[in-house]
Amino acid sequence: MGAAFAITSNPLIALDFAHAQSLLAVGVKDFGLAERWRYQRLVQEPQLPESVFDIGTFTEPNLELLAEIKPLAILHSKEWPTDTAQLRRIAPLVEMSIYTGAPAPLDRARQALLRIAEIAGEGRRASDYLAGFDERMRTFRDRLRLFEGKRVMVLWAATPRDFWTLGSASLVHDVLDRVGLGNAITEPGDIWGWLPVTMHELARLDDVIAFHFGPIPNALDSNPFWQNLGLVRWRRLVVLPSSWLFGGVPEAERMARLLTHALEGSDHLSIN
Amino acid sequence: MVVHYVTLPRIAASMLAGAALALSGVIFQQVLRNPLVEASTLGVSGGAGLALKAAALLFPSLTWPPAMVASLGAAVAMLLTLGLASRDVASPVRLILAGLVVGLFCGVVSSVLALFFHEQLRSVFLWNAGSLVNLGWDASANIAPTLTVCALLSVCMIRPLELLDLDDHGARSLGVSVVHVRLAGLLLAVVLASVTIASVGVIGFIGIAAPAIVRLGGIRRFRSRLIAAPLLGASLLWFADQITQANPLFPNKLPTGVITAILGGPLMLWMLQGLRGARMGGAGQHIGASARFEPPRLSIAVSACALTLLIWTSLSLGRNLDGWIWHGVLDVNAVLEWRWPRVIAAGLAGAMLATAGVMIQRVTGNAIASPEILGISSGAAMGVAILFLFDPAAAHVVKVAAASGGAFVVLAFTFALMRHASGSPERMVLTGVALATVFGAFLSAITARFDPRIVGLLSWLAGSTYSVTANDVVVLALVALGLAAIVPFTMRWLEILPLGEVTARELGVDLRRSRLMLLLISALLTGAAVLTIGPLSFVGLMAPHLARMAGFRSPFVQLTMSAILGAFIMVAADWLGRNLLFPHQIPAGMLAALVGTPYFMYLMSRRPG
Repeated sequence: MGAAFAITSNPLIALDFAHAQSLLAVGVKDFGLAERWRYQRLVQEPQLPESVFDIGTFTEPNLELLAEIKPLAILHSKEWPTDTAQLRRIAPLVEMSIYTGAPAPLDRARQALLRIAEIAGEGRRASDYLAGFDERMRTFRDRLRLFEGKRVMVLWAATPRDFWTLGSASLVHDVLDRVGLGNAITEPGDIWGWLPVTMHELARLDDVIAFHFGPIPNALDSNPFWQNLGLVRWRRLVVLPSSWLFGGVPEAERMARLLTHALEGSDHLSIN
Repeated sequence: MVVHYVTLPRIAASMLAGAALALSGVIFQQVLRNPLVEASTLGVSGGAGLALKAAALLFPSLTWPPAMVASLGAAVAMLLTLGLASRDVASPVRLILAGLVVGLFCGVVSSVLALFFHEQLRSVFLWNAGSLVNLGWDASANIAPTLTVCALLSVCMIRPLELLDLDDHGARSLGVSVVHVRLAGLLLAVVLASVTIASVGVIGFIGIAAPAIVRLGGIRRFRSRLIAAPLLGASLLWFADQITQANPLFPNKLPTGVITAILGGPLMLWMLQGLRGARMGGAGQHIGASARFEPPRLSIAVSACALTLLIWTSLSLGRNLDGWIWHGVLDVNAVLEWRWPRVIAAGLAGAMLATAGVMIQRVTGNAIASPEILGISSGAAMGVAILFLFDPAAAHVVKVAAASGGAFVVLAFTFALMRHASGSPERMVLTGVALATVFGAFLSAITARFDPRIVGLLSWLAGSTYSVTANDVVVLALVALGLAAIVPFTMRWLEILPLGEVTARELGVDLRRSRLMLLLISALLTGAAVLTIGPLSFVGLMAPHLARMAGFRSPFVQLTMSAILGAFIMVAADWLGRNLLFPHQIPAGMLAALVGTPYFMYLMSRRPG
């Protein structure tokens, strides 16, 4: 794995995809990222430029490599545990945890973005970016005026037998809030906001609009229970493009944009 | 509608699966004359799981039903297990050990997949943990016909199967073709178990628990057991599933497979107590007296030199982003301080595990015993896994404490076992097997949790030297040296014990004391090594065996050669692991197991003993 470019002296290292998104949002393009291949598979935007290099896995960032390139700082979070004892010997560690199970991860994501920008020397661009973000969110909220206060939820069929939803500890909850929709799921869930949903509960949630990020598993097409669910029968299930759902501010913007596009063009939904 | 589509299918599936697993267990146990064999202890579940994961990754567009893929994998695993034990089918211990090795190998390969492809395999991991959530009628539709057919077939075979209660000679003299009956029975049991496992996931211990309870209840005759056990199995699994649903303790509902493991594991361990003079089969691979011929001591010196060379290379040659680069060991460079603790720790741990392996093999008189099989490494791993449930981001020191705790618990249990009965070695081996299986179920449950942080746990379990610091190496070295100083005093025991209990007593060896001491030393060696490189490397199994096969048989020579071989294997594994996929690192233990296990299986199938 030869480096076709010269690595910046004292680059930043990101051990969390949310931090990587923040770095890209403020214009830093050459940093080290753990599990670069996984980012490319999971996260749709922002895309990784070639100049972002791989440094190993989250739990085992390559110590020899890091020792050689002498990073400026290593940005990590508690939700992606890593061996801080070893890393501390190489570079200063900056811990910013966004997903802690406490409400309002979007605020924490904003704080993280500002702090990262400060370390990278791009404080100005960060405030510009956040101002733009707020503006765009206001626009989305405007466009969704018709759905103001509507109860919605996120549904995810991990497998044809295994359904999950996101509660108040999740980023998507904040996003729904910002665009004027209401999350029907009020429990916090785990640190990411995940909650399992049983079939019984699904049958009861008839009057909400459900968002499904990613394609529905094929096997459900022939599942009589699924086809009989109120959600599916009355077309209250909106299928959105795959998204990671757990990033920083750029991820929140992506989700808001996808939601808005889907609901705007949704004259097939029975709204009452 | 909910009742029709969700509740009823779940009840039906749990009862059918329970009955099928119990029936399969009864047949397995009758054929193999061992109350502890069932699908999960024979490698069948491991094979099924691996087949599903491999199919999901390598052939994502495959439209074969999962039941078929899993059954294929299960069949291959069973064939492998049988093949490994083929020379010694009369020895149930040998068979269980073969099944364990196959199962563990499947587990290792699955771990590699888990390490790199976690998200995509989520459905398979959930299946692996035996979850009955949201099952439709498909599961019952799969199991019911198979169960009916197999039940009918087994009723047809009642007579010949019953005659297996006699020993082989007796059965043959009554006109029963022992081999054919056995094979037919095994096939039946495997198919039954595979289809069930493929439909509802890995649910262990029903196949052991139901027949055992039935027997305890006084039902002795095979034909009665054949009917009673499935009925009991159906109730047991239904009951376990009800507990799963009513469980208020865990926010993420525990899969049923974990409940059966938590309930069934202790049952199995308790049953081991009552295993009185059960025909454990012959000696398996007996170690016997030292061979008269031995390779010259020169070979040891040569091997030691090779090891030194390897260590030197491992410290100097490596990769960075620009490609391969050689640092002289004596030059000051940035990477050496990171490399040397890992290399030395890997070598020490390998040597320690190998030494422990030699001791355990001589104490039990069985060349297939090892620290992994004795369950000590399972205990350590279980300690860390339990810690993980409460605090996924615990500091290394805390993890070490948890692992020590787990290893110690197993050790204490093993000693209690030894002091209680006459300290039968076979019993200990089976205890280890039981623990390894229970732990496997537990681990599957943790892997199924929707949590990327389990990767850290998986990489430790796989034997990663990543977190080793200079201090850890010093501690490890001290422990190793301290124990190595005691070892020469045990030479006489190591020489005599493999000759058998009677001979040993005649020669004046205090059986209990010598076994206790040797096992204590082995356990300490294992514990320290496992805490450094994880529990799954198989080095404690491989190195002593390789040494013995190369002709090194007398205790001192075998110990030395095993230690050198063990160190060699681990240093090589560590070096390859650090460089093959730079900057990603493959854990050393995992690499050792990935390479070592197939080789070992090949050896096992070749030599009769």
